[in-house]
Amino acid sequence: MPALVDRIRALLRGKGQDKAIISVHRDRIVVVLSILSVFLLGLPLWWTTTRVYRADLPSTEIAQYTQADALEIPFTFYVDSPDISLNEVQKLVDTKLAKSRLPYKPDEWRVAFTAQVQRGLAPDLPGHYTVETQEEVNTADTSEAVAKWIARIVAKEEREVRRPEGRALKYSPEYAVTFTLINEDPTGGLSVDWEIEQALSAYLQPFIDIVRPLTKLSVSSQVLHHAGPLPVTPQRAANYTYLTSDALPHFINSASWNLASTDPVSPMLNFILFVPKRDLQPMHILDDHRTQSKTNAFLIPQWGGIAVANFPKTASGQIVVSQGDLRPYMGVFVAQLRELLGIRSDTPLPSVKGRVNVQRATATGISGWEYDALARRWLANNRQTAVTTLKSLITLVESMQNMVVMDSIKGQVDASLAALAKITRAHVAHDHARACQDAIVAATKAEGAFFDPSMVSMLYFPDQHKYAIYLPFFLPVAIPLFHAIKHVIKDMKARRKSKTE
Amino acid sequence: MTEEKQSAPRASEQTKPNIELAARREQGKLIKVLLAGSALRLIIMLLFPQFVEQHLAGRVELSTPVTSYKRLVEGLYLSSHGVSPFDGGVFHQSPLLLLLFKIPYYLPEIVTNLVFILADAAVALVLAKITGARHSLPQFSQRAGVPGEQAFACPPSVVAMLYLFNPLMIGTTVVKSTIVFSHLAVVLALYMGMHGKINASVGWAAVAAHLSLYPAMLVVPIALMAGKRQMLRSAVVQTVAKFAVAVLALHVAFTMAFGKQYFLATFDFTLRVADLQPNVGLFWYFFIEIFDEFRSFFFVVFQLTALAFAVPVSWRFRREPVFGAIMLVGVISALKAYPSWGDLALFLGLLPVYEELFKYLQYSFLFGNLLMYGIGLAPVFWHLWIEQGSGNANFFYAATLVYEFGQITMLFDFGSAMLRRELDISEPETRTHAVIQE
Repeated sequence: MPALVDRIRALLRGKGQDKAIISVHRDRIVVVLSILSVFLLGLPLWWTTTRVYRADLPSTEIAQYTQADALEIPFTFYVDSPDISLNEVQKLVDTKLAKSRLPYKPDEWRVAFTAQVQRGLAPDLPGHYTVETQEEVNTADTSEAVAKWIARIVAKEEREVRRPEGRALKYSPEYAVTFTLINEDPTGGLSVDWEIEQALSAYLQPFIDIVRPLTKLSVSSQVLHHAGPLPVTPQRAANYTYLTSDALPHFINSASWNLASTDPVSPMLNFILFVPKRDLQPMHILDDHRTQSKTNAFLIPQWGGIAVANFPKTASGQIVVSQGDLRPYMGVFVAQLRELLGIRSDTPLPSVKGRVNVQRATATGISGWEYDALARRWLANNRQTAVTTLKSLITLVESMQNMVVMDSIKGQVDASLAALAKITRAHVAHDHARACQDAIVAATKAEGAFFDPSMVSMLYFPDQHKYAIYLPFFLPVAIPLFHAIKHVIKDMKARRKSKTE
Repeated sequence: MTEEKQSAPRASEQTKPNIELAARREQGKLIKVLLAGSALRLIIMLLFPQFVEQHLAGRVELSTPVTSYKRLVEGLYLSSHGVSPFDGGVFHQSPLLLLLFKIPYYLPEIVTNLVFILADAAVALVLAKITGARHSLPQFSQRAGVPGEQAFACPPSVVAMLYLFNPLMIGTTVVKSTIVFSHLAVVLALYMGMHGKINASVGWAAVAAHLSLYPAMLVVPIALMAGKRQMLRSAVVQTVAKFAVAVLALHVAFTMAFGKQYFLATFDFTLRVADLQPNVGLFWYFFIEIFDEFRSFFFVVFQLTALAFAVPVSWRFRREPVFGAIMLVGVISALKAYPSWGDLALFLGLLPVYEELFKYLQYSFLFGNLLMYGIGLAPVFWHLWIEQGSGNANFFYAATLVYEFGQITMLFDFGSAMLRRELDISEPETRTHAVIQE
């Protein structure tokens, strides 16, 4: 205090009688320090309240899956004839397979089909096949012939699985299959109805039951009267009308025909039985060689199939398509459905004449081998989907530090990884379809985690938002505080200097 | 609000019988003022009930979710039927009020009205007593005057009158907002602290903290008041410890009675600003518009802003802890979560205790106008926004901002007035100079 008074008196005696300059050191220091301590108290609270909840994702385990790490799908062939040497056949098969394997592209997820040969009878599991030899020949030749066949079959399977999909849809655990009967113009005197339920339960249900372990096909049907005109005009010939193959892409009148799905999640497969107007009947479809198509039907890749049906006029003007009448059309639809799901009709080796008899399954629409081939294809695809989705998820979560990662997502990722880990060589060798189911679980969980809506909330949070949030309050609060801190420091320096002087 | 009545006696030369006569006359005036104020409130409540019900009871400027009478009645109804009053999320006030109104709930309405009016009159009485203590107690009258100053003291009856006839306070009492009880606890704490009865003061401060959370900040000036009679450090420690014990005792008692719901419904509700009903504060508008992820961060920031003033303000005015407490009451009124005009009324009622500062004010015209505009325009803009629909929330919020700006201006004007006065008392040479603080 005395120093203060002296200072004031000195100033008063000096220039300017009107102003008195004071400074209050101690009070100011206490005040500034107390406000700073409130700031310090606030720092851990700031940290806890703005922390984003991020569950730990197992990124190291996901990083272990690489593209070069091939998924091996082993076939097991059982040879029952005692005079065929297993070792020889195995060696020959291995060399032939290695030679005929197409080189892997650089960004391709590797799939390798191998074969192992055993003695005995094959169990009733996908992936185990018995080789029956019926001719007695030289054992060396037999061994080589068996090895050649095995290698060609397996190599072809591998080629087909590695080929990118064209017409088939991507795998989905559930498909919504819709059968639509379109009556183009009922006013012409034609009212059409069909016994679709009986036809479906007779012709399609066995197919659905067989593929049920791999995918679910939900079937619904509808009849559209007055659906709306065809967008394309068929051309007239002598006593019929026809559509050429270049008019077919415009066949569907998407605007008027109500083909909307009731299920928003599952992909939709539409099968349309189209009954043309009276004066356009009979309508035929000409293929590229300008010959009439035998089935009068065509497939739209990744969408569905259409069959054009011509019904003669009846006396009453009412037509009910019976189950028997629907049979050829259901056959066409099942064939189209097979293509859309990715079931190949050329299994195995139809191009080889004579030696290989291919059994077609006329009762169910899918044979055992075709089912196995479908399982193998979906195993490879789903495994790839699962691994790539998990890797993308990790990349996304690590690149955006602001993103919330809930525990449920971690649970789904862990479940997906557990399912992936089950797909070992031995597991796949044991049962191709079971391995496919594990791959399906892995892919479904991985996609569920990736597309979870809870992650979207902080997806777009650029750094500029942080300025907008913190600055409006803290900048005006900080300015007088910095001013006061500056003064305190100046005061302390001045006091220290005056003490040393 | 800032009218000054010049009816104080001169304190320079008085003979003993004159002093006693003046004191008795003063007391008579005080009683007349209290009766008149109570009568005014009673008349309004009895003769214009539909006006009160229609135009005042629903006003958000007068009653808030933590002070509303309707919610108190809801809590009383639930507890009288054996249900926890905090069920249903409507009642957010302290169980102390439930205890107080347990009996008047079953009596006719006039008894409840009289309880509120009595509480208001009690606040005015204690304010008058504080003024009297300030002028008579030795440790306060020592630094009473600047040499050469005309001793002009606001008599206690005038202080009581300024509080009782403040339209803001009349509105608050007529609407039966329970902030009145918080005011009573606050002024009792101050009065007890002035007389050195620290235990009673801390007890009343704990009651005030239970009724509305923010008077907990007053423990700092009360500790400084205790520090006048003993060592400062031990005084602070003891006072804070006593306060903590009192608050915890009440808290434990109520938690045992009502469970965890009690804490969530009262303190937690105020702390995290759970109800964003518009009021004369700034929180509701801000919390509606921020991102949800930052909500908890910002209520921490806002509550810390109010809390941050406790120590600096009290410390700076440690030679006048009562003034420090009055400043904190003003800070509470400006920065609390659910303010109302009643909080400002208490601040305005406490200020005439330090009437000698009025001549130091530099911005009185500014903050007077700001407050009048803020208070006058708020109901107008509310009507435009809610009832007529031709305005929007920004209108009402602008009036709120003006009101807030007026309060802040008042706070720093009075604060710098006190600083200047302290300087004038300690360094008389500076009295004729303009002072620059470097």
